[in-house]
Amino acid sequence: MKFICFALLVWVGLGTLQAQDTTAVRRDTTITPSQTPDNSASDLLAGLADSTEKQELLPHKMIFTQRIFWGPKGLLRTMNVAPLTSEGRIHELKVRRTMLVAHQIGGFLTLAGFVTQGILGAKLYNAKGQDYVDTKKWHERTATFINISYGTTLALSLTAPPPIVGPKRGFTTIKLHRYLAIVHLAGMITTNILAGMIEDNSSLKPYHRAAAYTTFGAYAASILALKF
Amino acid sequence: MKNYSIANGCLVAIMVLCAFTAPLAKRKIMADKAASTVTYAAKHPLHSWEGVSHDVNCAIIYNDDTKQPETVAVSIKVASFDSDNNNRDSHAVEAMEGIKYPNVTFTSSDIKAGDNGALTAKGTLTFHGVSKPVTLNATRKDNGNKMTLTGEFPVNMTDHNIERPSLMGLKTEDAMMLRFTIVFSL
Repeated sequence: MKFICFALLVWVGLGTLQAQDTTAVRRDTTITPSQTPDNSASDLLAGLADSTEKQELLPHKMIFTQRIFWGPKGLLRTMNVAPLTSEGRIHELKVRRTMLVAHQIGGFLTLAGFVTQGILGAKLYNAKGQDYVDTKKWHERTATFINISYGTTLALSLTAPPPIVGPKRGFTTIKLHRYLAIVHLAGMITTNILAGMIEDNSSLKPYHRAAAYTTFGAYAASILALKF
Repeated sequence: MKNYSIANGCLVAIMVLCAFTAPLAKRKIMADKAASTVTYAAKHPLHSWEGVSHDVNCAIIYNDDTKQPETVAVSIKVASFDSDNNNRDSHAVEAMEGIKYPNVTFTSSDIKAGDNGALTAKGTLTFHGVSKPVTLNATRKDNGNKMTLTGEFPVNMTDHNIERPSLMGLKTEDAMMLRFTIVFSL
């Protein structure tokens, strides 16, 4: 009997050191035998990698002009020009980068055009005789240049492949850039329409000038918005 | 005879019950995602900004005897960083080739505890598929059954073969600062 009790005491002592409790395990813990540091770090990481989701190839939301070409059922997907694969998206993102750099260059060229046009327009407003004819000619040429550069800059933005990360809720400076773009696009259209009507109705000149200045103001603000 | 059988039966029962006694052990603890963040701070000539990830996958091996973490592993999706500008976040993912290398990871090789809750973790940071040894200094704070680890460390993009993103022809600065706050329930 004494021998049995002694054996019991030894058994309990060993049990506290070796046995594992598999009946009361907290949800956020697992009991693991000790391992060498390198192995357990790799095992930990492997467990985490399983829990991270695969990267989505397209954002959840994109502007309709992008969706037409680059959406899951876009023109370029259905024509198999740009299949929706990881490798394809890596290439598309490079194309996107090139198009957005071109958008920035076009944007600054257009800004230079606006400034030039503002100077020419102010000169034209009070010009008379041959000076008026010459200034008007340059004003119209500059308008053509601006329309081409503005249109190209706009097209680059609207048709570039979509980003990896979609737009998020809440106000952001990039949204401000886009909202101001709506204002200066409306201004560009209005300025051009009024320019065509001035020939028959010179009383529209102040409105054409106001539309042009508003367009320039919104345009400059949209560029400044990217500073923040 | 009967008493001998009963006594033996009791002893066997006690031995079986004692075999299930819960010992002190090392255990794996996952970080509380809702409370944990990792933030990067970057600079460009036009502006500085920060991007925060609330999707921090982190696990430690915690030693209940020494009350210290012994091993740590972290994995964060590159696309989970939010700087309040999805164009910038997308550009960052493109620069880091986030489709090819979706996660930035850290695994520790050694963790030493110092005074006043200081921890020094040596390990490997893998970013853009390039692994570099780093030493992280963290501060541990215990509040009830919650352990919070905070700290920061610098990372250079070019060390991990990352092409520095640019805006309007100007490149972002090479050095970034990574700040972490990771919470565990002990």
